[in-house]
Parts: sequence; C-alpha cells; structure tokens
Amino acid sequence: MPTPLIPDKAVFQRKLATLPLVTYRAGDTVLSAASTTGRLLILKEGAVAVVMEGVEIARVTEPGAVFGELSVLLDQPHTADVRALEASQFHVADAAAMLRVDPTALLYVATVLAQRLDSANRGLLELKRQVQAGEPRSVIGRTVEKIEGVLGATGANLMYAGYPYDPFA
Amino acid sequence: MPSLIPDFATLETRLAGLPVVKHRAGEVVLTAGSKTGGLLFLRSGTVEVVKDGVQIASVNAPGSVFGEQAALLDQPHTADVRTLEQSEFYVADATAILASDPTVALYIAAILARRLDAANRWLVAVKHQVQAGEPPSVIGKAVEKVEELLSYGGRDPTGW
Repeated sequence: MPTPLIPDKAVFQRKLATLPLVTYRAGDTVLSAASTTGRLLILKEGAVAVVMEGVEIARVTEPGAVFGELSVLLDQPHTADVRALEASQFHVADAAAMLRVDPTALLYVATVLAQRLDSANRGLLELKRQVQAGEPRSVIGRTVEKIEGVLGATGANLMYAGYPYDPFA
Repeated sequence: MPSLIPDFATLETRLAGLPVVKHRAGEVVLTAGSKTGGLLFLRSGTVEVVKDGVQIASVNAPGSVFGEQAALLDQPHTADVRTLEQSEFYVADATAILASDPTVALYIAAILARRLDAANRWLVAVKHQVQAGEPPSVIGKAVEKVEELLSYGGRDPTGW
C-alpha cells in the first residue's frame, strides 16, 4: 500500500515559519489579475475574496490556502484579483525559487491542485445530473458557480482541520 | 524569466532509467477503484480514459501521465485507462519518484495546473450557455468537454 505523499504538514508548517510575512489591511489588493508577481502567498490568517471579472468567485479564510501557484506553473499572469476582506497576513515566497528547491512545498502545491480537480470533478457529476434532469437554469447556474469557485480560485488546503475542503462532499 | 516547467524531452531524461512496459491493444492499464501506487508516463501508443463505461478522452501525446491524482490524494484511481493500440509506458513508483525528483514533481504540478486552467475556461463557456438559455443538449456537450479536461491523463504541459 503506498503511503500518502503529503501529510507531513508539520514539516511544511515549519518551512512556512521561516518565510517573511506580509500584512494587508481590509480592502487592500493582494494580487491583481493580469499582473505577474512571481510570488507565492500562503494565508496565515485573515479573509480574502477572489474576484474574477468583477465577480467574487470565492471567499477564503482557511490558513494554508495558496495563492499565485497557477500563475507560476502556467507561466502566465494572475487570472483573478485577490482582495483582503479584513486584516490578513500571508507567508510570502518567490514562487519559482521555492518550487524548484523545496520538494515539500512543491508536493504541497501539487496536492492542493489535485484536491481542487477532484472536488471540481464531483461538482461536475452533480452538474451533469442536473442538466440531464432538466433542472431550472438557476439551479444549474449555482452549481456552475460552485465549480468555478473550486477551479478558478483556491481555498483547498491541507493544513486546516476542514481538509478535504469540498463543497460537493 | 525562464520557464520553471520541464518539457517532455527534459522529463524523458529523468525517466530513462525506469522500466518500460508494453501493452497490446485493448488491454486495461489502470482500473477504476484500484490503488496501484504507480505512475505511468505514455511513451508511445494511444489509450482511452473510460469512466462509468463512457470514453471521456483518448490520449496519444507522449509524456501524458496517469495515476498522479490517485497518488497525490492517496485515493483509488477514478477511471479506467485502456490501450487502443500497442502502447508503451514508463512505470514509476509514484511516492518514490514524486518525493525524490523535483523535475518530475514540477512536470506533474504543471499538468495539474494546466488542467485546472483549461477546465476553467470551458466552464466559463458553460456559464454563458446557461445564462443564454441554451438547451440541455448544448450545455451537456460543453459539460462533457469540461469533464474531459478535468479527468484525462494530461500531456506535456509545455506543448499546447
């Protein structure tokens, strides 16, 4: 039986503790869509909104949530704004440097992505069922938005007691 | 900034020492519900990904990887992978290779990121269709596309 790759959360948390911290006030923009910062931000405490094309697609409060990982892995600008809803603190890393040299961080990020894909897949099963059953547009629309929140935002994280974060569970 | 992400050629240099398995056409390479702990990298050939008896993708790009989500999430495989023609795979122990080889782990993280991004783009199309009041048959097709993008093995993350 394979042993799980990640669960060494304690090791990852110790690594995070060595990173610089940055604090944002309520209303501050943490990441801007279309910008390329090369930074990886890991929420330590606070609450943020992920906003895409003016629409809030997710709210994230769980410590350990990662922001900026898609941009660095896809080598493209950030696709959403991340805005602080209250005073919020993040661990900050140079994304490329951290992912290149730190297997723990890399696996953490990969697992967060896998978790989001898995959760989106479950949502998609629900969506398919609703479309086939001819459910009303409002119901289908809400499910699509939930999947969008999982895929496009973030929030899956492995350190919070709520793991696995899964709105479709 | 040079890309962080290895392409398949770079990956292949890391896989060179791994065993290669050959499957004939029609063989099941991974079974939904099983837990193999293995990672498979397509070297040559074509496979189909089958979920609940329905083909959701057919994959022939060398470097396509199978089994990575099961390994990362410590879950059973969620789809069958079956060869459509004679196919060759590099076979790795998922835990060992992901924990010890950052190049392979980066390659896989990039594939997952690419899959999320692609599925998300199609989901926007689904959203617009729902808002426009398109019939269920049209929405259903777009939903299937999202399903394909979310689930299939994933190819060279630098290649599309």
